Amino acid sequence: MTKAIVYIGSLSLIFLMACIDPFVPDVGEYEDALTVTGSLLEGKVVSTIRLGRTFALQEEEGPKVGNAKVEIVDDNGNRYPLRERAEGIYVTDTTELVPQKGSSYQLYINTDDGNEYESDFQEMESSSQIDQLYAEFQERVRGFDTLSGMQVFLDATDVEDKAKFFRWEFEETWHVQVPFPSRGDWDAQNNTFTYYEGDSIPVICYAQNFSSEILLENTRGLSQNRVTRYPIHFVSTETNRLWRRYSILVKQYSVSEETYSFWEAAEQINENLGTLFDPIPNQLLGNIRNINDPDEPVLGYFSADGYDERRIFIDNLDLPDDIFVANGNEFCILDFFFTAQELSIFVAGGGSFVGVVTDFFGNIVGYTGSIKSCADCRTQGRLAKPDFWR
Amino acid sequence: MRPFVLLFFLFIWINGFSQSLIPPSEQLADSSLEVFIAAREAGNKESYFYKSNWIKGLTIKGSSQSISLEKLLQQSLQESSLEVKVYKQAVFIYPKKPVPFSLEVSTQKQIRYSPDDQKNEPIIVSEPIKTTNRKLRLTTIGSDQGETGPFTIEGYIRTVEDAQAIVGASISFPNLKSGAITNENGLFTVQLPKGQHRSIIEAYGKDQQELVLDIQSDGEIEFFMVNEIRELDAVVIESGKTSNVQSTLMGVSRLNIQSIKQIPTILGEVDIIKTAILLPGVSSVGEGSSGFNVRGGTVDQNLIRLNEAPIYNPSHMFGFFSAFNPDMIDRFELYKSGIPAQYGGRLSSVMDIGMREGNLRKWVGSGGISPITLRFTAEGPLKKNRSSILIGGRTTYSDWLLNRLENEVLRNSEVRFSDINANLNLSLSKKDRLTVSLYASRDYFLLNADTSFTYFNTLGSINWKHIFNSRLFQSTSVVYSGYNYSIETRRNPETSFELDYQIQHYEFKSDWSYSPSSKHQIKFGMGSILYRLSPGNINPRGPNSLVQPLDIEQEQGLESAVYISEEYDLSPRIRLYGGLRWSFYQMLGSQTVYDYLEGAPLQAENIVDSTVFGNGQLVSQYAGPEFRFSSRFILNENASLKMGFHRMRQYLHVLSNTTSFAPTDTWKLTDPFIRPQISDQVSVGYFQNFLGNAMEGSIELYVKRVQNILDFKGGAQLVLNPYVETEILSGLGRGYGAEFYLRKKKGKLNGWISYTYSRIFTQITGEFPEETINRGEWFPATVDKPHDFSLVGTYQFSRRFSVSTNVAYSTGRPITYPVGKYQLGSSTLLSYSLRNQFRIPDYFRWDIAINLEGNHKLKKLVDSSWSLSVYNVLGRRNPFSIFFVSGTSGIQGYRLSIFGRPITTLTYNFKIK
Repeated sequence: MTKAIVYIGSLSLIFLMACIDPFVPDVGEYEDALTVTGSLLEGKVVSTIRLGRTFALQEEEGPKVGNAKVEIVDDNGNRYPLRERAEGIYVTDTTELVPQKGSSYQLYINTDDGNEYESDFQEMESSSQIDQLYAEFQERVRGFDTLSGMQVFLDATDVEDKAKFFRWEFEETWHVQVPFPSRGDWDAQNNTFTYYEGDSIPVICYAQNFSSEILLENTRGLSQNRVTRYPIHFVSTETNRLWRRYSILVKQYSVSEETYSFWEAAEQINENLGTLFDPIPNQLLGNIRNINDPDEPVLGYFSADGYDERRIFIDNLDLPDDIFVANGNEFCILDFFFTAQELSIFVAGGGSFVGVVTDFFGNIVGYTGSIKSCADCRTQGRLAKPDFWR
Repeated sequence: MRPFVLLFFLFIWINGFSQSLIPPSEQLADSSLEVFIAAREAGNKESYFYKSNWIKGLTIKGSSQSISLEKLLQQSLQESSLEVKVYKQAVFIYPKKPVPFSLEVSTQKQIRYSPDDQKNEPIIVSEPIKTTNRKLRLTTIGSDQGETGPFTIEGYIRTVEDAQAIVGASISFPNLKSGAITNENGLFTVQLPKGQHRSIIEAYGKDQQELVLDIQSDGEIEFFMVNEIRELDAVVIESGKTSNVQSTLMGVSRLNIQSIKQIPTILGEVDIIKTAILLPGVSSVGEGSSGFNVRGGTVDQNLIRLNEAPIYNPSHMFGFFSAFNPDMIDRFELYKSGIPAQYGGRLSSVMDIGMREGNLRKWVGSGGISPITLRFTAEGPLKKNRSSILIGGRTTYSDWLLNRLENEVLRNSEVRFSDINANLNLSLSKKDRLTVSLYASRDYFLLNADTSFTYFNTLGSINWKHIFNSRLFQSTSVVYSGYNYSIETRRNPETSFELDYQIQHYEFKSDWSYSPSSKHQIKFGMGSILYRLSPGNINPRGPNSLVQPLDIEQEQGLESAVYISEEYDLSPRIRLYGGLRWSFYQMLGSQTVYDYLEGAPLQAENIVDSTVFGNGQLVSQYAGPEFRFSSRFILNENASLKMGFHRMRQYLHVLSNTTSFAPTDTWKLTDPFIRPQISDQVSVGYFQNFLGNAMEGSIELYVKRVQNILDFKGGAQLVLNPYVETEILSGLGRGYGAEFYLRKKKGKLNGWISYTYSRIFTQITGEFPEETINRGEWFPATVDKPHDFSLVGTYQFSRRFSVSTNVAYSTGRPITYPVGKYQLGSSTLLSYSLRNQFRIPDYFRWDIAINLEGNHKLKKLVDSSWSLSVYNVLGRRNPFSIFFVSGTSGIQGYRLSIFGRPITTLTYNFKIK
């Protein structure tokens, strides 16, 4: 609702010949603060808490905070330590801790620099189930042309029929294939050559992407506590996602009203369109603080959420016949080299070796190569087939 | 050669007086006209008024017999394009074409009355008398009845074309160091001693008149003012030239519509609010934002009144255009400091917009076409010279701009607005005047044939003015103003809704003015406003919608005030003004008031109880005095020093956590949680006129302090929130500034330069972290723009052709930037700096407009004019906003410029006579 209003405002600006240019403000030093994200999930599910620090705007990823002592404290004072699975990623042990609806939990962190942090107590929410996750073909207007693709929708109902607050995240995985698979890797430094054989030929990989938008919905103000046709994600035919087979895993978090308003505020901050009609941004206050220094800024939030997940697959065959799907290889070219010398220069410059060309008698007459993204699918994904892939 | 003061005299001609004949010997036949005039003037026969380049090469065509001077000159000028008029010892020679339109009424007699109706002979114009080096017309008022005075003189100052009263015109008596300004009725009252007094009558956009009044007894007089000969170059015209030095008012700006129309526009829409922003101390947060900020105040701290009725949303299209049709407006006054006691209810300023009155003499139509709108106005007398009506409308004439776009979303969208005004003026008797004004506006926006947004303003006022006698005057008004908006969406049948908001304002007020003597002016009055608000309701649309209806409880409040003020001349140099306004506010039921857990943050979760108040029951009340004081000390004839203090209280607030005021923002009444905002301001000003009043300058300094300023929690939900008090924070504001202003009003080149240095800060400290902003430290408010410079200039090349330009510079407004990023869930979130720690880049813009008037043929049916304007000539991409979007390639900052390229517009205006 608020979104619609914001859109109206910004649209009228665009209509009046507004122009938008990239702009990098000079903000000097960024504030270095501990960041905490993750939630404790209801039932026998592994929950993950990630610790990190803030990072500069131009950077892709921030530093992780490892070697911390992370514990979940329940309302009886029982403490359940978390295991550090990878740097900065801490997971619960489901044999010891199975969070129950109605109990309250707190997050406790002791970083290796000696600082102690704790969250507010959060009451565990009950889980609601995803009724249906489905995709429909859609054509939509974008700028001057139309964009076609599959729209993934979600229906959910609350079992207890209480007003529910939902947050979703998704993981998408898709099949990628290169036209000129490389047959070997030339390590120019050591001048060694490794031939790929069978499964190790990087021809088919599985690319993966995580949702970056904050997806929220609530049934407050609706007469029935169900969510129908919530648009989770639009998979466009312009990417190579739908070229062969695509899969999406949707994680549904049933959150408390308080948690929901935190995420709502986060969404507002992240999707600020920058018109004068958008709320003035502010630092988002989380529910975690330094026990000894309450003024230290700590960013992030700990919540105790109900959880459900659902995965679907979409095949290229699910699309109408006449729809063209990009595979990203349209501009791939196979290069020919007469000598190994030429090929080595090409490989050293970032190209990939594809194969040898022989004459009728088996004599090598030259070599073929292609740029890496056309020869090695690992530039886009992983070679190993994920467990869930069928 | 005499100064060209032709029009100045035109209205005093009286037909049919005899002239002596000139014998052939004195006719100087075949000599040049210049020689003839020189000879006549040397012989002290007549005074001639003309421009020397007009009569070059003309010769006298003599006659064989004695003929009158007029006839002689007429036959000499027969083949030229000149005309001649002889009045006693004054001869006026002027071009036939183009004839200034005011000439058509040039034979209008001046009317005045003597106190005794039997002796109502039209007298007045006697010999021009010689003062220093100019001959001034002498007007006698009354007849000598042996009294010595002082006498009370009442008078009207009106326009010569349609006899409309001119508000804020001045009459001054330089030798007596006294004067008066006309009130809302065009009436002034002065006390004068017996004898002859040099008098200067001035009104904005009108030629100055200077004459000698010979006062013999009490009496009345009427002056008719002629538009300045270079009417087009009347750029900004505050009230009379010396009145900015003489009046106790400071921080007041007056502009009339002719001057506003000269200024280059965006897309051809003449905009009074965008013009006000060019004045010192007035700014806005960005191009295309609604409203304006005065001395660091928020937009809702301005009271904008159109013929007494306040307007709640003064803009069309989210702020791109102001809600006022320029053809319907006569003038506006903007009070920034030393606000008189009759005004109240808002902290920062009062903008009083006066609708034009209809033509009292004949029916006239006018209109215009710009790329955005089509305007038409009709006006005329209901009863000649007594009552008139003016009706005008403006509408966007098509969606052609949108329809031309290739984007389907935009092509399926519609943007429309329209407004209509009507102003009825009835002269019930010589002493009673009734004005009925109506205004309605509508804005409609449909996005992709799905979501529609509509908003309306509806205003009406009935005003009755009565003059009891020359000392006592009253004005009583009944006012209604309403604003409402609604949003409708049909995209998804299950979430389709309709949302409505409404505020209604019912007001009664009565203002009285009493002048026991020329040294005292007492004003007093009272007023009461009943507010009724529907803070919002949402209803499902369509049978499949699952949206649950929600209706936020209505609010009702009564704001009342009584006031008294006195303006007193302590000595000819010192004038004092003191006022006391007592305002009281009551929130009335029915209302549910929640009780929150003590010692806990104000949150919906902490509600422990609630109290229900019945309809009309008192929920809470606030009251307090508002002191107003100002003084003027005249240093010399051209300079004065002024000082003022005022306190204002505001009971109605806009809830807006956006940078700019949006049409979806809601107004909120003061309640048990939200206290009235109070501001105190002290200001000092130095005023000086230069070059014989052709230029005026001022320096004003001020310091202000605001209590209970509103701010909001991060991510506050302000619409459809039954517990909206939990989102509101309150704090303190403080500001100071210096405003420099220099204006040239006469000559081919005119305009103004203004520079303001000002700061405004806010402090929000609460008990809990979420109720505190920036750790409780003072931070610059969003409207804090320390340096603000504007230049407005017009050069008049000829009577029909002029070029105007604007230059505007200001410091970029403060902004909160992201200073880092962090991971939250699978999203990357921005980590923001403290509020308003950074600034957007500075703002700079240059505009040019070329105005071409059609010729002013007297008998032409249609008068037309063209205006070509280029907005933002340099095409500078002034940032309106800086924002950040997280996409697949990380977070990218963008700069949004609204008018990031030169915008050229051609506008056509016409007038049908």
